[in-house]
Amino acid sequence: MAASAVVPRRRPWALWLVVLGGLGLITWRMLYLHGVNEAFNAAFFAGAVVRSLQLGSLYALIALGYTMVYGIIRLINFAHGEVFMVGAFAAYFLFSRTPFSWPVALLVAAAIAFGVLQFLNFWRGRARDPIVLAGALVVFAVVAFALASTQLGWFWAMVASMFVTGVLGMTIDRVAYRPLRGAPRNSMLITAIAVSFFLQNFGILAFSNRQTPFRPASFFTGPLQFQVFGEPLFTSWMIVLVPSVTAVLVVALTLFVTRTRLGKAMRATAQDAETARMMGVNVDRVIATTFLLGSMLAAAAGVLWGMTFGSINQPAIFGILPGIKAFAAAVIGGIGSLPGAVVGGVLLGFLENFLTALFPRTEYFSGITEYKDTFAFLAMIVILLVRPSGIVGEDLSEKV
Amino acid sequence: MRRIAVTLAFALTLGGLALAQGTIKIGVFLELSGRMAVTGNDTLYGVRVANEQQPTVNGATVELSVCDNASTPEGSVVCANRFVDEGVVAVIGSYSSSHSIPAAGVLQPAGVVMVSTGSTNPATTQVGDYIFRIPYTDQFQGAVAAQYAHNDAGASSVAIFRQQDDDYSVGLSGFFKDAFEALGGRTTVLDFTANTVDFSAQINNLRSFNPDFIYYTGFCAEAASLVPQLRQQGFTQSILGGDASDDTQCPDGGGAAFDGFTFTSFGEPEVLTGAAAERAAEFRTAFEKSYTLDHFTGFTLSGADAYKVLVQAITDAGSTDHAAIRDALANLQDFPGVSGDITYVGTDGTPANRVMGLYAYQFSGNSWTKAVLKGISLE
Amino acid sequence: MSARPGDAGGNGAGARGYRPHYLAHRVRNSLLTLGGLAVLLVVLLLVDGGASVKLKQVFALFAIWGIATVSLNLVNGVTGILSLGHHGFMLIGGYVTGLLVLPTATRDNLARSARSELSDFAMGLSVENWFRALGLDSLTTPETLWARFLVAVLIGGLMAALFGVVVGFPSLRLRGDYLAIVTFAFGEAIRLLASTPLMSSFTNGALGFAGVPSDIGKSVWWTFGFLAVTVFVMARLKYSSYGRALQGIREDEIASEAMGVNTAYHKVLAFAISAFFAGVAGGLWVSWVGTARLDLFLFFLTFYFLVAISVGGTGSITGVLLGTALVVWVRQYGDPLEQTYALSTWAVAAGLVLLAVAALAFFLRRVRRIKPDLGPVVYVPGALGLVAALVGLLGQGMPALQATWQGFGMRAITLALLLITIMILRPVGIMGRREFTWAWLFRERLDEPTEEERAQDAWLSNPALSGRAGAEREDDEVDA
Repeated sequence: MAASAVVPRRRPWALWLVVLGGLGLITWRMLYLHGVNEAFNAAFFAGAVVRSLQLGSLYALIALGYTMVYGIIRLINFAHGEVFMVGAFAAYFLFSRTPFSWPVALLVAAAIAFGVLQFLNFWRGRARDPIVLAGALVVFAVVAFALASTQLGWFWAMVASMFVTGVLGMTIDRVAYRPLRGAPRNSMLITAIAVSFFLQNFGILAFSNRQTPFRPASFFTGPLQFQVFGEPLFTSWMIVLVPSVTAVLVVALTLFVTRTRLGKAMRATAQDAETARMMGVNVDRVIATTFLLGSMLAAAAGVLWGMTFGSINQPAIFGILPGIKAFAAAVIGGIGSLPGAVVGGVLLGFLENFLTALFPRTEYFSGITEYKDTFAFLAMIVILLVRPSGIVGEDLSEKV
Repeated sequence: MRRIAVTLAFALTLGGLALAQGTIKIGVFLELSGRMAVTGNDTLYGVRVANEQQPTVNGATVELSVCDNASTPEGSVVCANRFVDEGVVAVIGSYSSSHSIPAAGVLQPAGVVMVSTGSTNPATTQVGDYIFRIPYTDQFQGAVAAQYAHNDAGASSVAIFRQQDDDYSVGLSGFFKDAFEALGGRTTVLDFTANTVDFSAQINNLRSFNPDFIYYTGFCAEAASLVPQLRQQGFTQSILGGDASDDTQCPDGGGAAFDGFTFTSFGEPEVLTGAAAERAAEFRTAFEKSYTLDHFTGFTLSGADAYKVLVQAITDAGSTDHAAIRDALANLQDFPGVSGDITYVGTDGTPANRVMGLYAYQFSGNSWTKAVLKGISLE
Repeated sequence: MSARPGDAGGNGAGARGYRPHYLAHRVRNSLLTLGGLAVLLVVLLLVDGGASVKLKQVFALFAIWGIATVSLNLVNGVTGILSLGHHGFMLIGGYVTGLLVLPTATRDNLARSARSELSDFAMGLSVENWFRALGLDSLTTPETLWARFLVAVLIGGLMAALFGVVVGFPSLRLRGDYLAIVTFAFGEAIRLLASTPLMSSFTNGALGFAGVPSDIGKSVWWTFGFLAVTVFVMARLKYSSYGRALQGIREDEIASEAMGVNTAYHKVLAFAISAFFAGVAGGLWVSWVGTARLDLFLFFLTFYFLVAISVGGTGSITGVLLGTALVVWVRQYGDPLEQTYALSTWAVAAGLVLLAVAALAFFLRRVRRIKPDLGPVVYVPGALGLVAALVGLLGQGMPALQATWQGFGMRAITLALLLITIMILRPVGIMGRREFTWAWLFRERLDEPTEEERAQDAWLSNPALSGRAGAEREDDEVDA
């Protein structure tokens, strides 16, 4: 789970040399481009950097779910991209279709309250604890009333969607993955692919079968314009919102994993599930928690993704590419490692966006936009062949 | 000799009548779901209203066998195979070239007449002599758009956004590029694939070219993401779209960024002239009885005409024989269609003279209207 | 290999101790095989001569997908490496075959149209031109398309095999799901690269090219011929020393390496052979559709193959073919599932499915002697199903249930649920690793020793226990 043992390098200066050399090359390339065409000014590159950071944050949020699940049960949760999709669509319905009719409101509120109940369990420990039960009941009543009477803003839609999606993640684990604990790894992977396929088509059936506009009324989607070295940069407030939400969520997750008993149990399970079980850790509950947290992060990513790009794809394809790329990010950073997922995600964001800005179309060169989608795969293949443990991860590759 | 021919024709007609006393089936395959569902359904409503107006041909009731291709080429092939198995008399469909061409590949060898309601790529009717269409081709549309960009908008450099996995978009971009460069302008083509939502890489590529006009040849699913992103990143140039932008998904999905978005598309009653305009207006009145007018577009008229020319051809042929219908259709001259006169004599299946409209989305607050700018006809 | 308790003893319970007379049984089996082939021949004749175009196409599609699944099975089932890049190999074979057999007239049309990105070199790549250059003009007529197609599909397969070797190399370094993900990444990268300027002079961009002759891909005879060759090669391979080595890698890679198996060579070989046949299947698939387009080669293709393999029986060729038949049948004849029905109909259908689930769960718990019989797995779906069915039946007059609803994606959902169910209940698939044999049909166990042999074995191992011999020989691994 956490990057516990960093292997001491023999030549620490080699890494710095690579990093500095790379930065030098990038600077040289930027200066060269500026010489070629005035359009490639500081604002152009600053825009590329902030957009890369924004995209990278989204990838990081999704990658965290992959990496947590892989760290605990060594399963590549193929369905995680679809969980991300459900998160976005749940939020879409929550902000565009509210107020709901009472039956729907009660149903959705029940799902949300169940998620909150699980969440409250983190510090109380038992679902039968009166405080937990009372809390869930209060949440149920308040949420049901809110859903039936007002239109939700994007923020509350995101929070509600996180709980709904978290419950979905737990359900997937309970229904499809738990019966297969101890089965061959290939069986689990095939099941994960099947769940992913099921969710894609279920999304078509239940949500929508075409691209859906995702434009909640929000200050953050509005334009933001500022000067970089005297050149105007046009962008939106989303470049502030996305990295900040990601940072808050990552810090919260890190605090949870390092400071709470359940987080400690998670780390113990990740290191050795059998021993953790013997030490009295309820491994099934830890796994369910992992799915809950990972899915909640994916839902947040889904909402931010929709707001960033203004529309979300039809369910059958929405989750595939972001999901697989985020998985690639997790592998690049080092799967099983939380900092690795964030590093990998941000790196992938830069690879996809900043790199295309470094090699844009000029009079002599047609640009590399068409290759953009393959970068994640190629980088992942290279990383797996060169350093399977990833940039900051520890070696988890299958042993004898 | 002539008498024999006349007798034979008479006998055939009688035989055809006798045979056709029951029902005859016309297959309709359209984008009823998926990314082009809005236009596909608008077209279907046109076919249905035309069917209500002329429910019988040669004394037989026309039954529409409707098949949803789910906006995929694969689905279109499935529909075409189904029609061949059902033994339909003729086929109407579909809206997109990418879906019409694969289906035509099935129907041409099977010898079934297909009339496409929306396919504007020249390749569709080049599949074979059983394939016809109602609209103009992209050669015309591209030339019209290039003239508009050059003369009316005064542009000298145009960035073309092209959906590289769609026949229609690739074809239209090519024709526009040729026509615009012939007029002395500069172009650059920016590729994207279906379902792209993040256009920042394409917009990075746009930067050094610094166009003074943008031509968009893709569909609304992607335009709804692209146009707001362009506006947000400081590109204020005018944007012209092709007829695929004639879809409520554009302004509904993209919002106020579409204010002033201009596009060329199928002729509506306002841009038609003479008797055709009257027929179209009449049809609109009939359409209003069954459906609301926000489903009425140029594609609706096109769907209606696809049905009407087929009924005419079956009447002329006097039988439901596939080859006879094809011959009758190929000899159609000055048929009074609701989208203009239709003449297939001496063409490859594309009507000889078509009328196209220039429209724009105009926003006031959050509501929008589709304004008619002018009609353009092919001479 | 983890067999569930319910798997053991699934066959031949009544045939204990029966020793078949080999010659008679061989004659009988040969006759039965001939009879089976004759029946297949008659069926194909009927299908080919029948009126339904669709049925013919479905049969051809089954054969094409059968080639793909049987070849994927060599890597996934026999060698035990989860390969998720099969659609990439099919893409290579498909595009190469399509380009090589594209008729000259279509080529000229393409070259004239505004959308051609093919280079002149690629335009000249045509088996027809090569035959002409060799003076084989008799093989350039439309009637002799098969000759050109055979050459093209062979080249397509070889190109795919070349990529198979490339994809196989990571298997030397990586294991398990890391390897699975790399094969997936390769498959996707191949598809994504095919539309880039790098490859578009050969692939004509994302649009590909239409007008690939369908005569071979839609012919029942040719496709089944290719399938027969594939099955023959795969069956021979499976029981050769190579096949045993591959199965050894599946069971325990390190042990087989210790036994002297060159695992690297065998793994790359498996990838190459599998990719070759995937390329052949890709060529036929492009011919079946009539166009080479990128959206024919999405990941869903590999997913359907996985369903076929996992449902039919991982590692068993006959099982895989059974699974393929199921998948093709649902895909091609499942469209009633995706029609528009009233909500009450949907409710009844959902209720019936849930009731069936409950009944199945109850039955399985009984068979597997899980106590109590009525766990939550039984009564939760049962109660839900009862409610749904009752609501659907009794509430037909309710205005809320009058609305109609179209079941988009129902076929894919059905297949996905089927796969999940199979994975949970019987991870080895319907057939397991067994092949269909006549002996199996007659419930004979050829591997089972006679009473005499049992007694002898038992006496040899421990004379004191001679009464309870052979008790531990009850595994379900019957590969012969």
